Amino acid sequence: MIELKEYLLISAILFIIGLMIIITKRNSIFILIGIELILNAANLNFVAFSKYDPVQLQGQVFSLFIIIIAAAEAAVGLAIILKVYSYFRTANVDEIDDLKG
Amino acid sequence: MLASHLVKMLPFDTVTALALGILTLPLLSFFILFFYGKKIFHKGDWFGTAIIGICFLLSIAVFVLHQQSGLESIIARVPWFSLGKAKFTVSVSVTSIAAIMLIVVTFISFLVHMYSIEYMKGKLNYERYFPYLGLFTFAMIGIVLSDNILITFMFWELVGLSSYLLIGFWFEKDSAVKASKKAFLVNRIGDVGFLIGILFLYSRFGTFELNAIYEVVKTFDAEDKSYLFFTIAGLGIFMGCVGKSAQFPLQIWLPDAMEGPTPVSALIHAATMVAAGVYLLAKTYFLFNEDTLLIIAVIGAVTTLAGALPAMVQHDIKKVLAFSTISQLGYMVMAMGVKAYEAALFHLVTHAFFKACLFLSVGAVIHAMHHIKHDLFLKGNYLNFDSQDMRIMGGFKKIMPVTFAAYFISSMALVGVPLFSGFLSKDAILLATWDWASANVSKNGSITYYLIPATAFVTVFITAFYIFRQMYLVFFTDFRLADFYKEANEVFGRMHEVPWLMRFPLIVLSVCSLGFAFSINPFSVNASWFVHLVKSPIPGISPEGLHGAWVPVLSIVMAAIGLFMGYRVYKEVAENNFKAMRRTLLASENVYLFFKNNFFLDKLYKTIIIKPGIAVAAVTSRTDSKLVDGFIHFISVSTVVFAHIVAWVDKYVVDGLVNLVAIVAQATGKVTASIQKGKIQSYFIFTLIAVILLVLFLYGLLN
Repeated sequence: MIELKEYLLISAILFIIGLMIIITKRNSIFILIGIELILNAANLNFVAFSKYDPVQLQGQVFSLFIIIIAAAEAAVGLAIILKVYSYFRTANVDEIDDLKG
Repeated sequence: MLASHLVKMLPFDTVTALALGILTLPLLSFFILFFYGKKIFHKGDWFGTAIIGICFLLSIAVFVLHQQSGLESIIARVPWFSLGKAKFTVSVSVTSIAAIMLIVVTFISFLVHMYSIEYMKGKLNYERYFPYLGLFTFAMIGIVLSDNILITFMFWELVGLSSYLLIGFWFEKDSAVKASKKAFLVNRIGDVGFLIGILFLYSRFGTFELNAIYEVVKTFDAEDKSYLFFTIAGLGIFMGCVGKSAQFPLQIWLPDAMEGPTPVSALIHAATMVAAGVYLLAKTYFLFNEDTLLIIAVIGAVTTLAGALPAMVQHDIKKVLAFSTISQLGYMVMAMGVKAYEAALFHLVTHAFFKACLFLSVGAVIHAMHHIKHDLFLKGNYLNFDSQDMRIMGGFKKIMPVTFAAYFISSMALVGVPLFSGFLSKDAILLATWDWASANVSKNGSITYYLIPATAFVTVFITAFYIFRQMYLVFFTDFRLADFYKEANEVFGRMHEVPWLMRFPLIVLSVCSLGFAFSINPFSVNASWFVHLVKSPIPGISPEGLHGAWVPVLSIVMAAIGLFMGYRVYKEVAENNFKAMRRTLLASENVYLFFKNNFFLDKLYKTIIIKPGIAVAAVTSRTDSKLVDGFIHFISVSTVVFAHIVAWVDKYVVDGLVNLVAIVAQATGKVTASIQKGKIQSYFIFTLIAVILLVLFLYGLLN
């Protein structure tokens, strides 16, 4: 039997990997992928906690919502990245700094 | 002792409305001629003359209506303005003397207008001449009619202004400009006194209305009036008269005023300007007390002599008459001083006619002299002789008989020969001075009072002398310019009598200089209609009460001696071919020069008044430039220095503080801006750090 601890550990590793991708990668599509990883880490947590709650299924329902929202978010995010790319001719976030102070 | 409650508003009736019309018509004439004179027919001269002619007819109507009404004075009074509780009024007052003066002023002004059309023909600025005459007449009528003494003062100043304009009419001539300035400034001295007198009256009576003041003052007896107040107010008003009527010691402007055109001199000397002073005395006569009247009499007597003496030695044909006017004005003022109110005003009127006639006939001679000069010039002889110098005249009797007749009649009136108007008025004055002196001598026992009638009698002699001298030099013997220039004789021979426009005023005025014009019996002043019309406001010497048949006899004898002396001296002079004119006239050269230069009064005033005045001005000017300006410079320099200091402080302290704040803000901005540099990953790192810190913090909080 896999214990909750292992789930959480996997989830944490996933989260850290996503975070590292976000921080280190310059390409905006990679950053979007990193965000997906972080969302999935959260989903894993919800599902893991829900496994130990036999009566109610809020965690699993919550993760379902997150999957849907992540899909929408990815669609919107990719559309924005496409637009940004067509405007700036780059997807490198370091070069897109028009909003700097 | 206020009189302001006696000032009541009175509506205009026929007489006062007509008088107001007489006042406004010349003003209207002035405005129309001044602005549109060039466009009107003949440059507006006939228009102006007609206006004054209408005024003359209206004046007669006013006189007749006033006589019919039987009232002493007809007054119309309307409000002017009010200052707080004090109300000021304007009034038109028609009295017997005002009605007579209206006739005299408008009549002489009319004749002068008519005369000027010919005399001024073709002269420079012709279209400006007639409006000025209209203004002059307007101002004089204003003095005659106004009952409010403040308004009288305004017209008084207006007379000063218009005389200034007319004396300086030929303003390209330097001497004319100087003369007009002198007349104006000397008159100002008198006017200061007049104004002081007016303000004194106002302070005491609370009104400027002479009629209301008269109502109060007539209840006073001699003791009430002996206060210093009346003396000062009276002397103040008399000072105005001294300036305007050319009394000693302010008579110096009148001889210089001869620089104006001759018809203007006639107007000034007869009707408008110098008459104003005596008329003012008549108007305010009720104010004078014994002390003031004594001073007036003495000043008048001094003026009588001071005018007559220089007249004996003048060469300028007009200056003789100018000094003569001073002398005659002295008679009038003296008569006022000895309480011969009627005689003074009578002499004012008779003098107006015969002096106007004298001036106009002399003007005719000058006119002829101008023509001679002009004709000589046309013949190629440019001779720069003075056309008013009597030494080069002579013989005009032959070519200008009408002018000579007019001159003769008016000069006889001036001397006071029986059958002529001057005899009536002058003998009334002589009688009054004698009466006054003998009354005072018997009261006070001092015979010095006899000096005044003595002066008057001596002046009769001098008057006869100088007027005969002038008559002889101008009208008798031969034309003396021909002694210097042979061509002049021929030109002189072709001269003829003046045109009708000039001849008519001469004839009319000489008729008015005859005794019959004023009295049925030309030997008795009591038979004169004038004396019965005018009533003195204070008890004085009325011609009826006078006796002393020897007085007219003495005056006739004096006049005859004067005429005879003049004849003797100048016959001798003529026989000497006018070479030794000075020597035979007066024994001493110094006395001659003393009289010729009007007692050196001009020089005296220059030394004792003008030079110290200029010295004071120089000192104040130096004080101004050195001390006051220096102080102001010091202030301004120190202000500039202070301003520099302030500017430095401003630049480095105040601006420095502001700049410091700005620099700090900028640095802070730079520092904070470096955090937000648009790098998304750095934002993530900050967020991460913040979350970690928050977690650590919450962890610490839980434990």
